Amino acid sequence: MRAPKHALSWQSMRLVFLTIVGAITVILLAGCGAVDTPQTALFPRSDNNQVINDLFAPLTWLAIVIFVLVQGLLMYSVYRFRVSDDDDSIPPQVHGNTRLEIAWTLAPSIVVVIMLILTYQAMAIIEADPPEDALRVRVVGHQWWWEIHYPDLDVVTANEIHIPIDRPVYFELESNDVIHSFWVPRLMGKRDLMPGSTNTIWFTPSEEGLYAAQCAEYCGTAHAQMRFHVVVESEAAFNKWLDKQREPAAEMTGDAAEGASLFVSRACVTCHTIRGTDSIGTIGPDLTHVASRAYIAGGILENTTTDVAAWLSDPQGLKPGNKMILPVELSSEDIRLLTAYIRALR
Amino acid sequence: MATVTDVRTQERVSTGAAIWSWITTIDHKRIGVLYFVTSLIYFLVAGIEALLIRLQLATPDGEILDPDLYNQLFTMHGTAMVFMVAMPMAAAFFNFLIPLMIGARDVAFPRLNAFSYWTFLGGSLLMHSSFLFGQAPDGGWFGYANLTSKEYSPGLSIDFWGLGLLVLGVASVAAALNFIITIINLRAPGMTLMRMPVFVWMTFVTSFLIIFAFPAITAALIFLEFDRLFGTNFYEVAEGGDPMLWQHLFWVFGHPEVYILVLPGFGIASEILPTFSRKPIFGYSAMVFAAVAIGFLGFSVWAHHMFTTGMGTIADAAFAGSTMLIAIPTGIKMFNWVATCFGGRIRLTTPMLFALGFLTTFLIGGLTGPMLAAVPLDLHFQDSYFVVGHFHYVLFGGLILALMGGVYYWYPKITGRMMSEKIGKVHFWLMFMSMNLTFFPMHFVGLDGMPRRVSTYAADMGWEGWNMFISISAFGIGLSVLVFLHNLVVSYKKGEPAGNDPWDARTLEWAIPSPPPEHNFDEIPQVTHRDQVWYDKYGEGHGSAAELSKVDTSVAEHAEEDEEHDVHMPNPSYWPLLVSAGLTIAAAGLLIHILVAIFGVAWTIVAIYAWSLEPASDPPNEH
Repeated sequence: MRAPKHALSWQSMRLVFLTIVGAITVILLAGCGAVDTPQTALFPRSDNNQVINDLFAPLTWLAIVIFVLVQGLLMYSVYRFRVSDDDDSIPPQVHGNTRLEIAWTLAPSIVVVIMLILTYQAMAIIEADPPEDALRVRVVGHQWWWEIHYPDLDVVTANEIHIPIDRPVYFELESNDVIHSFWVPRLMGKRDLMPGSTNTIWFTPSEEGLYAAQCAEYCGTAHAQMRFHVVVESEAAFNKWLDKQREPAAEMTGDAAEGASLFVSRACVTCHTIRGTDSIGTIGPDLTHVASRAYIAGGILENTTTDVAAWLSDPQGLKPGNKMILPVELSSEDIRLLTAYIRALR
Repeated sequence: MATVTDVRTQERVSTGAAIWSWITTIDHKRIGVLYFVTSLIYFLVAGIEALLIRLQLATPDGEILDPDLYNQLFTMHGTAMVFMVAMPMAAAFFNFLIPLMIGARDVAFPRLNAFSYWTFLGGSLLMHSSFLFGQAPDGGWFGYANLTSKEYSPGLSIDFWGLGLLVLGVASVAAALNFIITIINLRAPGMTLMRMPVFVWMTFVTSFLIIFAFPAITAALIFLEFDRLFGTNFYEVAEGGDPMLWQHLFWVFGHPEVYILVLPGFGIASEILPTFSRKPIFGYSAMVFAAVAIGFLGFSVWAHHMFTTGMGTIADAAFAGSTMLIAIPTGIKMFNWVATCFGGRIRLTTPMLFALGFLTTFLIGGLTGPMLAAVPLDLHFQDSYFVVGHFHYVLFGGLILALMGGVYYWYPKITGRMMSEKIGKVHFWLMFMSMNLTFFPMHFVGLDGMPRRVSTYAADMGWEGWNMFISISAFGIGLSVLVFLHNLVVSYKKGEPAGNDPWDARTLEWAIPSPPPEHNFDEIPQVTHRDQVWYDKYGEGHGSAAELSKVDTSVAEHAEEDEEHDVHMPNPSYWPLLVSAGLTIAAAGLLIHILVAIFGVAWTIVAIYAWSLEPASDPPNEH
């Protein structure tokens, strides 16, 4: 009894092979992207991230070369030794070949040694202690936002980290609740925020810009919306920002002043701190200078009047699960005044 | 000449009696079929979950699933695919094939084997019943503490998960012990360890990995459930517990688990490639020792899942090194598979296509593996879609494709009929292309900064093109599975009769009728060579089959010349099912009320005693 004989012809199969190869080529070309991907890990903007990228290239090429060799050998064997289903000749029953087997034990061993040497070289650089003069930033993860401290500079903020260009920055990472992970792909690989201990990571940013980032360890309902941004700016701009952040909240007038009193009467104060006022809550982000940030709500909404108002009217709809649960629904007038206040907290 | 027996020509029995015979069966072949059908159903369930996930991610700001439901779906997709699809489907092959391949009449402990199946069914049903209460597990298949604590995961979702997994673990360990003992004790005379088919060796190694790896996750889960149910503090940071404890215990299980999943795939490919190359496996001893080496090394690499947790440079460097070492035995296996094909007479049947597809995709997954072991790169890859792409190449490519090949290869033996080659080839090409188009671009979105386990993403991230592409391709995989199901069903009714040895294969199961009689072998075969059936057919020589005087002493034919032998098979029993039910009730009781749990434990104990006192077979009449 033989296998059924309605096999596809070799020609049609070769066509399918070519289609696959073509499709993969198109994918590869497209993968080297014309699309703007602000959070990519591939175009590093810091020294340590450059080290990682310099390791990525040789290891990737090594993998591609090995794939082409082994797959080529396999395809050649199949192509060269294929027979029709009714061929019943029997090839030499080769059980092995010691010399060959030693050769292909040694080959991967050599590749492994090369990869390890390259890996350890890169590790020696990025896992070294940070320089003495590094700027210290403490990041505390919360479900689902980021608390930012500059312990030596007396600044507290949230969800937007400012750092000066060309100066090493050293992050102390902690968590207030569950495990999160700090990942700014263009600046550095990730490091977890572990409850109960402090993790560290450092790098020296090399190009100014606003870098998108987000939590990379699954941390519950709104994990996907636990985003943040890093602003790399000139030393002068950074110092100016620091001065501003150290000040208490601005005096309010008009709508903003009315919004300020609503902020107290509508229970916002229980969760948020606004320095210079009676608001000293610590459950949510510090809002003293919230209007100076580019984004709100854990990096998911732009900081515009429209978006702030949208957030205040439906925080649970825009970011399901988050801890901002309004005790009473706000009227549209409340929202208008509160928005004015928040937009005035520059 | 042995005749082709067809299941439907057997005596007609009433539906009730037929169902009862399946419930009480302790025949390894029937239990294998039960495992297969059950895991196939879970494959569809977990596949539908995957497609829902892909629907949600097809566009930015997707609104098909809310975040909580999304989190439940990715958790159950992962958990089910690992514990209720991959492991039991491999177990289906172990069950059906191991006794046949080693020339035995059943496994060493047939009733324990039934118990393993029913316990697997109980644990998986317990976990899936959570959907009925809207409390499906949502902590990820990896269930990291302390997100799984009562504080951050109130409700019962994590308990359904933890208790379900504990029950499943009992099933896995019982089955693994059974196969180890079967392979050690029940081999036919002459079948030395180094004459066993490679698939038997892979089962043997996998079973050892299971009995060494599962205690770690069992301990981790018991700690977790103690924390949740009784207020202990193993993972409670505020009370001095440590969430890192969970990660170490979970991955000490979790990494060997990867090899528990892929070694059966290695085994299946190692049977298919020689048959359709008409050559013995190249470098048999190296293949065996490489698998054993992978098994050992697999226990020394767990912390490569934890490079981002800040373990320190020394630990990172050590685990990067041990992980990369696995590339060496894996490389040996890969080259030996290629060398098996080289110089052969390659027939591109459906099983062979799947085996070649397995080699190709596993090669890709195997090559991104050492890249992930390079710590600095892993700091980016970890928890990004790059990893999702990597392990789907390893598990879909390394296991699912191999299992599919295995189904096409052994379906004739199991049912007595051939699967349609025509539909099979459509199935292969659709599945193979769709899976590559689905999982390869995941590497790109991962490098572009997309983390895994995100229920949504913003439109300005530049990920929507690839995600749409991936989602469409994923539905191609779904379609290919429908083609597969169609083939399974149609071939069962209309497939050509298979005969004993439709593929001109090499190992003992092909010497007996398809489907095999309940007692497998009329007479236990004598083994003198590796690939015994091939040897019986062709001897040591080579050339054209026509030139060779066919030795023609296949075991079954040989056996039929003999007189009827007394074959004592153990009786059917429902006690294994009742013990499993008791265990499941005990676990479910912890979710409902402690009295129910105590009732379940009491039930289990009574059932174990009843099982022990039940006579294993009818009293012998003359011996």
